[in-house]
Amino acid sequence: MALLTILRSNLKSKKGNFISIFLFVFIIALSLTTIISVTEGSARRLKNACEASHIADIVSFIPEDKLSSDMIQGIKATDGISEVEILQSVVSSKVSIKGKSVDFSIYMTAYNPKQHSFQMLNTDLSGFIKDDSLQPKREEVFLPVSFHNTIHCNIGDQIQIETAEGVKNYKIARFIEEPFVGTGVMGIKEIFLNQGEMASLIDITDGKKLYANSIVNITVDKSKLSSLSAVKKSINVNTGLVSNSIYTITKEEANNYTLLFTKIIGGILSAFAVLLFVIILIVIGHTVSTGIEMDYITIGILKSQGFTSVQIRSILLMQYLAAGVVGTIIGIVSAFVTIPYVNRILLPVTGLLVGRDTRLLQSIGAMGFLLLLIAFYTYLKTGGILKVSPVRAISNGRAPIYFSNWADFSITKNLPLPLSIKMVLKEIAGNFKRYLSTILIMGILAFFTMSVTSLNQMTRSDNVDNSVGNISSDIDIYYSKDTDTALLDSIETEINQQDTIVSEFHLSNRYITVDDMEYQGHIIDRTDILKKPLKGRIPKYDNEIIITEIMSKDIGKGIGDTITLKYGNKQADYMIVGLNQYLSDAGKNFFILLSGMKRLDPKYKVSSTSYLIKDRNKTAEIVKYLQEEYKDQKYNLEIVDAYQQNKDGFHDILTAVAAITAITYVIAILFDAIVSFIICQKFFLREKRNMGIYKSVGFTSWELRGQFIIRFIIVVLIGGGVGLICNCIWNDGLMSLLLSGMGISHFTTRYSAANILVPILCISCFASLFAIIISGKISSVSPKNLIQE
Amino acid sequence: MKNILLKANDLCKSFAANGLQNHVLNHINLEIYEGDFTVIMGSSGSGKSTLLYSISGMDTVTSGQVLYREKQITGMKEKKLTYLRRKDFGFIFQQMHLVSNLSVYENVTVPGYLIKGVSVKEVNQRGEQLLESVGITDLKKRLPTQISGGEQQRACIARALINQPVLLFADEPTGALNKKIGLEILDLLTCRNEEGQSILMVTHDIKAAARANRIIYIEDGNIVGEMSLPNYQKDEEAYAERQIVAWLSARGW
Repeated sequence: MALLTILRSNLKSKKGNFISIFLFVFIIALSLTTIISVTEGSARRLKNACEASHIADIVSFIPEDKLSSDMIQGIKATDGISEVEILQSVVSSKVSIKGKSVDFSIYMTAYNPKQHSFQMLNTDLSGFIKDDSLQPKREEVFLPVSFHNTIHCNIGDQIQIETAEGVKNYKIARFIEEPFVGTGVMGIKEIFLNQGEMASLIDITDGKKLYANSIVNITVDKSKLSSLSAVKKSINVNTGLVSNSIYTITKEEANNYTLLFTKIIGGILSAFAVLLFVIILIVIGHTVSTGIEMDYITIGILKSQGFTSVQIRSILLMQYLAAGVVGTIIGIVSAFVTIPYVNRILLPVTGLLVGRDTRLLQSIGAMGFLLLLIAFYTYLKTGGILKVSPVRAISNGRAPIYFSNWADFSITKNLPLPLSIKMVLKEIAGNFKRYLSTILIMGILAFFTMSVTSLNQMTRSDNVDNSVGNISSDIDIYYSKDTDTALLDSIETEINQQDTIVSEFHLSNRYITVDDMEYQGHIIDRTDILKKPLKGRIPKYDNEIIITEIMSKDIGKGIGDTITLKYGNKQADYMIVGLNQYLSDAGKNFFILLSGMKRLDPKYKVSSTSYLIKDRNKTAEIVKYLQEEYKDQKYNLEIVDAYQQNKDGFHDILTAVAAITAITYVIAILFDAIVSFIICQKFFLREKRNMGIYKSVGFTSWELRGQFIIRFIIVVLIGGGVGLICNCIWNDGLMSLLLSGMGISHFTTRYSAANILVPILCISCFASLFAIIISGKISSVSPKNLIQE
Repeated sequence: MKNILLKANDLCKSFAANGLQNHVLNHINLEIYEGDFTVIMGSSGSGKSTLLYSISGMDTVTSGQVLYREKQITGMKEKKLTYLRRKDFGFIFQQMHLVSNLSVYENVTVPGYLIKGVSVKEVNQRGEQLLESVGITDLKKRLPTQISGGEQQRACIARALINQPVLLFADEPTGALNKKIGLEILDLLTCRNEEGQSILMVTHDIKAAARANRIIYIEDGNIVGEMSLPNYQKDEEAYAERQIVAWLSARGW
């Protein structure tokens, strides 16, 4: 009862402490619950969706003419394979939606409700329709939901498919949750047609506009489920399936792509939550130490009345825990609002409708662990209570000197500085240890807001290519191998007439097996379009290859090693001469020269040309002109606004990143505001008596307020400087670690005035604001009350 | 005819706590003269410290006027009041109240640096002289927590005198000290008064009161008596104390 009485009165009289700790813990609980629920919820949703849809363990998209019966038998005979299913599929040379060409490789398949069992989304994409019997009618198509944002299409829009018999139109009837390749980050998609429609399309495949393909669904024995990559490799060794396919992917790889972005965002927010937690601990330590100092007499009185140090420490502990528990409960409950919001942001990227799935148990567990840490740390920091001697405390005698004189600054020296500045410098130099925790907190906040700013800068689409070393173009011309070169020359002349061509190159992509593992290969005719490699050099000869750092780690080979590339039935060895960074395919890709590709396919011909023009803003206009000018050639070639397509391609990812960085920025600013307020208040409480003394000897309120404000700002700026230095040292490494899943192994922070000044200004503004508000008491309270209150 | 330094007209001071009004000073009328060593006496809770703080501008008043050299200081703008505290008034507190992170020397000289037109060198020289006059020159580099209560109070006296104030206010300057040290402090103050310093001191100590030439007795926020004494003489100290005791006893002390 005695402890409860003291606890109740402390909570009542020190509401400020309680509220600030409550707010901090609330923010952490809200963030953590959201992160855990979104990442775990997405993974769970994906697992359930894959099980319901009977997604195979390994899926290969292969041209029908390359899939022989021997190959099928060979697959079945491979160790660990339990079932092989072949589905017919059709690929068109051109698929458009609302007149805009679709950038994905689109595989059209017959929808089988018994087999596919995909969830159908309702019209506003907020939930599922509970009708398992729904299937596309004739001239209708079901699309993965990622199309809605990526291609900006809606139910009722038309999709156009090029065939030898003209363009066929299909109405978008439903969006579905396709858990296999439905994610927005993968370049391959399955779309679903009526069985009758499929049969008609298969009948009119001509190998030019409409291609017959097979989808090979391979089910693996349960014992081999943990090593699908190894099974895929052995399938290729036995049958060459992977080398002959357009693309072969395991369920594990597909799931990784689907959840890639969620994991990256989860990683960034988790790092953020950890930093915030460190700040909480520092603030608690600061508050506890100041509290003991300020309540020295009270603690002495309690001790003289018979309270033990353990009891007094327990009261303090319970105060902070009470605030923590309340903050946790309200934070977790509030996450019910944020979770569906974040899931909605991620829907176009993952292709999964996760909704309100809340991982309560895990969140409570995580917060419980953090509260335990807070309790333990608080108990440690209250050790100062042990040193309080009752008699000494009551007679207002303090413990021995607690000021450090190691960096003393004398105000009696005849220096050309105003007295106020001398006093500010003296206070900081003489009490530097006291300001350390503030400097640390401000440093962490500055570090984090600079990191978030650098991430946001990187994701501005005009920066992305530069940031990650991607090759971009303005206008792409796609053509068949038989297209007349005179036609291509005339297009080039037209472009030059509209604007100046700055650069022209050929860049194409193929999935090629490397040491029996499939990777995305880029074939180039000019090496000067590649950015400077991270290590080594760019290939000069046809037997040289440059791979990404991430791919190098994957295959366990580096500069100087030889790797074997297989494409179709051919293979050749290449030497790794350099390591670079290139974002496509989660950073696992390589570059070879056109001459190098011809070692694998002597008949290989380029089927696209890319142009960079002087004025990128003219791209849309030029492309429109060319499409009109050469509309009679629309079956032979495709003219694409690559500049816009590139922007659109990144759009959903960049939107999601922008949203997440905005959220973290807001939270960082909130934290900054709360921390500035608490620390300012603590500073003032400590110095109130001295302020009263100074006022009594003739310092004006404004002089004293000015000193207080300047001092606080100096400390905050020192913290900002520390944060900047730490950011320069560690940000690249931290970002590379967090973004490695995306393909960025080598993040380079671009420091600019905005990057540095905006976070420091933000932090300084709050510090100044609260210093001005809190120091107002110096003006409003008489000297006597300042001293004696 | 002595000059009036401070005059209080119908001074009232009340405190509000939990909705209740506590009237500490009731319509006080008072004059403080130049050159006097005036003591305000009263029992605990009589309002003597409140009167000192109210009349010196260190605290606000509820109603009434305080005039310093015929200029009204009640209701004066805070900045002007501060300048008054800076130049004309000096304060000595019961609990010393030295700034804890300044050395003794810095505590003494800081108020001096505030005066425009006075060089740092001049202030430092004056500080050295004052420290010597109060006998703590060798402690000047120490922090307040490194010296005794008596030494702190000497430093406070030196600080209060750095700008050569017209009037020195002291709130029970010997209250936190033992008898021997207390007497030393009183000797310093008496010495200053003999040199012409006007002092207004609050005390409940008869020995301290015996140093004064004028005693004002306050009870329950009202001035109930005033006594004049000849200038302090060491060999007549006991007699003065007996006179004071008799006078106070007649007033219910």
